[in-house]
Amino acid sequence: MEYSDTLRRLQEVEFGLVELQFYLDINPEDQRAIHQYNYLSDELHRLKHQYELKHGPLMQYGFSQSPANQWAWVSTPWPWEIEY
Amino acid sequence: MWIYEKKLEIPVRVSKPDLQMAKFLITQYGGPDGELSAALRYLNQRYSMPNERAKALLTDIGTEELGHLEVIATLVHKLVKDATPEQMRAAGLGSHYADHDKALFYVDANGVPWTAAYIQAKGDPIADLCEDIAAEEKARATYQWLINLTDDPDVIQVLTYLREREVVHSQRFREALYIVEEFNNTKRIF
Ligand SMILES: [Fe+2]
Repeated sequence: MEYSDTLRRLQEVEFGLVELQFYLDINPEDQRAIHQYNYLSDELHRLKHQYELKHGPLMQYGFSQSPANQWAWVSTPWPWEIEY
Repeated sequence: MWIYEKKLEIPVRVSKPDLQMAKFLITQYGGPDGELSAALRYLNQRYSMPNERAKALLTDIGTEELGHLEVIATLVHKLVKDATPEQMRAAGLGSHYADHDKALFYVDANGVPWTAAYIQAKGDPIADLCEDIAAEEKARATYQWLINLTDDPDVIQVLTYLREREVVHSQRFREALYIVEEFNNTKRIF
């Protein structure tokens, strides 16, 4: 399994959101940071959708949809199996 | 509730199998200053943390530490997956092979199993946040010692990233400690 550009972009955006999450926990009144957080959150949802159409569900318990013809959760590679 | 996401926080690559490095790295999986200790320490301290910002921070950093646990696991797995028993024995992993084959286990670099005695929860916000800052500094130092033990540029890249995350965690915990101390001071004045 090859490392995809969408996954790289997903990791970048999610990293920004992790950073903003910690920052906002300490500075919850910073409206500019909240705006950035929501902006990146939109971008994250867009990228996740794009990734999942090609590579299968990212999340369990209904947080991702499964392709109708197969339960892809069992057949897509696990993170430690990907050749980055 | 936690929801698993089927991806790593960062890409993890190794240039070559390295059993000795895997033996050292496992300490960040199940050692005293490792990612398991970190995640369990923070997530457990939340219930008695009185400060709202610190409570959120413990939840969010504790969750990222679980992601780092998976990064370390992937590194170790990739470093050992193609090894033979003879090679494991030669690298000092013969006793690991006897007990676990190539399975990961929560042990430190000497094979000592993880214990809850590695972590603390005092129920006092200042004591607990000081413990968390110290834990982050110990994790940061461990990543530096691990970087000093390898010449694999791919492994160094991952370890450098994890070291920098500990710097950020420490900084945020220091800010939380400052907020808690400020609150205590104003309480005393009024
Ligand atoms: Fe940390």
